[in-house]
This record gives sequence, C-alpha cells and structure tokens, in this order.
Amino acid sequence: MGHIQLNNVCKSFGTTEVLKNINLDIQDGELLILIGPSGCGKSTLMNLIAGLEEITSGNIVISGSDVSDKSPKDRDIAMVFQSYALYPTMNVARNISFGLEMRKVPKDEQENTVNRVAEMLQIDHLLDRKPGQLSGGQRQRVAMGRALARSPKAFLFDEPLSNLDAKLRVEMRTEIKKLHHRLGTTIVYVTHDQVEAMTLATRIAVLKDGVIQQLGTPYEIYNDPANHFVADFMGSPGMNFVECVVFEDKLIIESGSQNYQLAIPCSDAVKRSNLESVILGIRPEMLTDPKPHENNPYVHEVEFNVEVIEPMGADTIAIGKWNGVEVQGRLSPESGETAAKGFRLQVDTSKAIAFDPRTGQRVR
Amino acid sequence: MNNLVGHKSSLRWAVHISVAVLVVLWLIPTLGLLVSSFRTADQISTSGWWQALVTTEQNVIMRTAKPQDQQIIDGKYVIEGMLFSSKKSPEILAWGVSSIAIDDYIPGETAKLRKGGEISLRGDGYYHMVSDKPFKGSRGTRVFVKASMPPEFTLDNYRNVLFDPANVSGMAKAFLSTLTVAIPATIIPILIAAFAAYALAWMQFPGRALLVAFIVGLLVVPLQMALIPLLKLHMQIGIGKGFLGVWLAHTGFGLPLAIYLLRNYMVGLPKDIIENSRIDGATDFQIFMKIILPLSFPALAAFSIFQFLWTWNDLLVAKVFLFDSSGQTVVMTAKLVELLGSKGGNWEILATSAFVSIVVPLIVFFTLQKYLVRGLLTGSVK
Repeated sequence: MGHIQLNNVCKSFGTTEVLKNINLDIQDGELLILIGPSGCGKSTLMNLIAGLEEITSGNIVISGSDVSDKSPKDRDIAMVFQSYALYPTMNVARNISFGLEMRKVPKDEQENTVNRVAEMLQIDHLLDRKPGQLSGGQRQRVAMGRALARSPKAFLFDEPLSNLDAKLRVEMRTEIKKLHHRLGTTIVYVTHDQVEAMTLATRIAVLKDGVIQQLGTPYEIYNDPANHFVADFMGSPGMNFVECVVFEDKLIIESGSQNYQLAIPCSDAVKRSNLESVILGIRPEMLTDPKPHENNPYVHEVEFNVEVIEPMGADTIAIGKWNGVEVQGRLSPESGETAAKGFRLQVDTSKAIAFDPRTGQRVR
Repeated sequence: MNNLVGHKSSLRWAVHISVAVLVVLWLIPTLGLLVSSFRTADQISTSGWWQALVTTEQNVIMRTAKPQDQQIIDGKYVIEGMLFSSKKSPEILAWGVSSIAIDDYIPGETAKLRKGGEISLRGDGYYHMVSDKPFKGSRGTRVFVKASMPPEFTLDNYRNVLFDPANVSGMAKAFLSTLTVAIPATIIPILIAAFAAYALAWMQFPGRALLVAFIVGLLVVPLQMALIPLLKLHMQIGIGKGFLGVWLAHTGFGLPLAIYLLRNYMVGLPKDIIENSRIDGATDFQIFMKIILPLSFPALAAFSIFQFLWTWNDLLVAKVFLFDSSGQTVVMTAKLVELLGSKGGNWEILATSAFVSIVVPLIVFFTLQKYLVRGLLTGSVK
C-alpha cells in the first residue's frame, strides 16, 4: 500500500526557494513521473520523499502516516539512484540482500529473496560478481534488484536510465513498465527525458522553478498543455509557436509571401480575451503533405517555402517560416524528398491551441 | 598543445632525466650504508665504500703476534704467523717497521728491529721474527704494509649484531621495545581518527566546520612545544613514564594528520552510496563499518605507513615519555646511538644495525602499498 501525499511542501536552501508549495496526491499503484529541465527541483522533491533532506514546511504522508520527520529507513521506500550507488566492496548477492540484512530478515529468507529477484531481472548468473566486473546495463539491473528485494511501499527512481546507451535505455524502459504492471507498486520516477515520461507514466507532473506546472495523464499533457512551457517541453520535435494577429475569430499567418487566415477551435476564448495577438501552438504532425479530408473547417492549405529538410526515416521534418518564425512540419518521406519552395502544405488546426503572449498561459 | 598524439613534449626528457637523477641521489647514501655493513672496520677506516669492489693499494698498520706467543727454536726466540687473518690475503707491495719509512723493504727482505732482532716478511703476509734475546712487552711489533687489497665482504657484522650474545640481548630487547611502541601507536590513532573522520565527513551536527578548521589548525603545532607540558600532565595524573605514556603521546601527535587525511578521503566517497545505505536501513555505525571502512583502505594504508615509519624512527618522543631508570625500555634508535657513542665510531656496527632496523618498515611498506593504488570504487557509481 503506497499512497503518497505531499501537502504544501516547501524546501529552501538558505534563502533560495527550491520548491514552492508542492501538492501531490500519488495514488497506490500509480507510476508518477516528475519531469522538468535541470534545476527545476525534481531531484530535490525525490530526496524529500525519500527523507534524505528535511522539508522546510508542509508535510509528507505515506499510507496514512505522517513521515515528515521520520528517517529514510522508517519510511519503507526503496530508491534507485542515477549513479546506481552499488556497494563496490560487496558482490551482487550481498548488494541485493544488504537492505534485508539491515532489517534483520532471517538468512534463508534473504537467500530466497535474492534468488527470486535475480531471476526476475535475469541477473542470477552474476550473483558472485563485484560491481566492477559488470557492464552498465547489468549494474542498472542490480540497482533495481536491490530496490525490489525489500518489497517496499513505494519505489523512487532517480533518472535510472540516463547512464545507459540509447538502445539499452529503450529496452530497460519496457522492462520497467512490465515490472510495474507485474508488481503494481507505487513508483515515483524522475526523468528529464520526455519520451520516457510519455511511455511510462500513469500521470506526469511537469515542474519548473520549483512549481508544478501541470499534473495529468500523458495524453492530457501532450494534447492539452496548461501553458507555453509545458507545451514546449513535451514532444519531439517540439511544438511550433507563432505569434499571430487576431482577425475576428481567425488568426493571420504569413507563409510563402502570402497571408492566410486560420480557423482555430478556441476562437471564442481568443475573442473573449480581447488580445490583439496570440501565440499559436501547433504540433509538427498537424503540418503535413496534402491528404484527403471531409470538408473539415479546420483543414487549410498554405504555400510553404521549405528551407531545410531533415529525413528521420519514418518521416521527414521540413523547416520553413511563418511570420518570420521557424516552423517544423512532418512530411511523408516521399514528398519530403521533393519538398522545396512553394510546397503545398496541409495545416490541420483542429488540435491547435493559443497562448497569451505576455503570460504564456493558455487562452481557453 | 604538446600533449597531442604524435607530439612529444621536449620537456618529457628533462622530466625523465631529473627523476632519474633524483632517484640516484636519494639512493646513494642508502647504498653506501648497505655496502659498509658488509665491510670490516679496517676496510671502512682505510677506503671509501665505493672502492669496495676494486683492488686498492692501501697503507695499513698491522701488528705481529704478542711477545707472549714466542717460541724458542734452536736457541733463538721466534715469533711467526700471518699478518692478515682473512683467507684471501692481500698482496704486499712494500713494507717497513718504522712509521717514518713505511716502504723501505720489499717482500722477502729482512729488516732489523729497533729493539733488537730481525723480521722478514713474505708477499703473502707470512712473517718470521727472530732474536737472540726474548721479545718483551705486552703488544706485538708494528709492521707498516703497503698492500693491494682485493675486494672482500664479510657477514661478520650481521653475525655480530644479530647473534653475538654480548649484543644480542640488548638489540633484541630494543627491537621488541620499538615494536611495542610502534604497533599500538599506529593502531590507536587510526581507530580514533577513522570514527572522527566519518563523523566530520558525513554526520550533520552544529559546529562541524569549526571543528574541522580547528583540527587543520592543530596540524601546524610543533610537537616540541607540547613535550614538557604533556610530560608534566602524565606525571600528575599518574601515567608516568612508560609505554602507555608514549602511546598516548604518539596518538595525540598523530591524530590531527590522521583525521585530516581520512576526513578528506571520506568526504570524496560518493554521496549516493551513503544515502542508499541509509534508505536500506543502515545506522551510522553500520554505514561506517560496512561501507565506509572497506572503501577507505587506501587512506588507512597511507596513514599507517606514515605513522608506523614515524614511530619506528622516533627518538625524541621515546626519550621524553618512555625511558626510565630501569633501562628496560630502550628503543632501537636509542640503542643505535648507544652503539655509536659508547664505542666511538663503530661504523660497521652502526651501518649493520641501521639495515637491520630498516627491515621492518620495508615489510610494512610493501604489504600496505598494494592498497594505495587499488581502484576501490570501480563499478560503484556510473
């Protein structure tokens, strides 16, 4: 049972406020991702939950009991560090059983647990080795095994995959997801990799400057970002942002030396806000080569002067300019090959969103 | 830019040569001492150790056997024998019986003695003294010899120092005394310092930084300043002079460096490992014993070597805190001083004893040095 509540948690180092009034309710069995740029406080938040640092104010409740003043060992959580932090002088088996040993679990039970965990993570042939004799991926597995051995209330993963190479990272990502399905234990997972966040999370909390910008499912975060920062942070290649003049209920863009009027779903809100111009946010996959459609009012065709093309294999990114701002479109590889000046680009604004240029907040 | 592949810095040679020169400079005195320890007192006093391997021409003063050994052969008083006791005798080039003319005769000639009688000397050192009257006096006749001495080495000095009953009891006792001083005086400060260093590196408490600064400050206090007050204190609280006193003194003088060294090492250990063991449920004591201590071997070994060498070679602290009137607690350094002082320049004994006393520090160094270079943290983080 791992239900973690953070109530008005603040953390300051001296006069620097690192976390400001964090409220989080992490449900039992949830995989919550904390994501944000470096320095946003996500690792500090993790350390607060683990008890490695003291909170300045507020409280932390795990499974109904206030643990704000309890030491790490009394919180019944397990942590996987970015650096793995294996005990270099002990072999793999001892590394895994160390937590049990400290909690005075009987010897034979320790042994059973080590074998079970090692088998689950496919490291049972490495039990006699020292960490120095393992590869990066194996070390990562041992670090996970050490956390798993204790079956705690919650796991805290602090960027566990960031030291692996790209291929291994994808493999381990899948493995962590499988593991979460199988164990059903609460996991709090810190990362700065938005792909990891999107693929793993039950919910994502996006942090910036010690404030939670948005908390929601990956779908919500991606399609319905709360502000400019969240929209910009999630997605690769990132969302296009173009400042446009509002004309009645439409937005005006200049592309390929011509002006176009784009209809957007949030036109009422834009009108209500009385803004003269807004920032249009539109994902690259909404800018495609012409496809058949059923008379959709949000589908436009514009002329696009492609300046650079970046073939990605599955599709090709075409870069041009709207209103003098760089815009990325996602074309099929075939049309990408011939894309040049005056390319006919289909723009689907049905998922386009608008931001207030001054505050960066969504206009809705 | 000199370190790029393919570009060898011209300074590299300068560095290599200076290192080689320094090493040779440092080793020469030791080598001299080693060579001297295998030479006889005569050799040491007549030629330098660097001539030990070549045949040299030397002027030596030898004495014949004492008059009491004279025999009467055919009515004449005769003393005969070999001038040189060693088997490989030097070849005599010239000789004489007066200090004014030491090379008047060649081997095989016969010389008149001042006190009467005559002496003949062969090239291999055999002498024959004949006189009508008995030889008088208690000492043998002086013979001045100019000889080419072949290189010769002897184990006599070591036999003398290690097995001669007259020396052995004193030396063995001094050896044991030194061990009794050095071993606890190394272990006690390490024990205390390791705990202190862990606390100063990883435990949170108010005033920690001040305490560290204070210990660094203690590093510069010269120990001579504390000798007398400390001895007074020992006398007052009843420790007096003895092993306990010298252990405490060495511990005290060694602690600042030990704590400083170990703390700086421990602070550099990865924070993640310690935090992880804290989450795993280990107490501070368990973290120290199971995680920190095994990882701190390089620092512990480094300090052990320092402290052991210093206590082993120490004379000052032992003189102040240890020696009492019983004479039972003399350490080796003091014994060496005694050997040199009382017998007035027994260099061969001194050189030999010095080498005997070097053996233990060498063993300590070579057993511990492997810990100095081992990469203990491999595989732990990243």
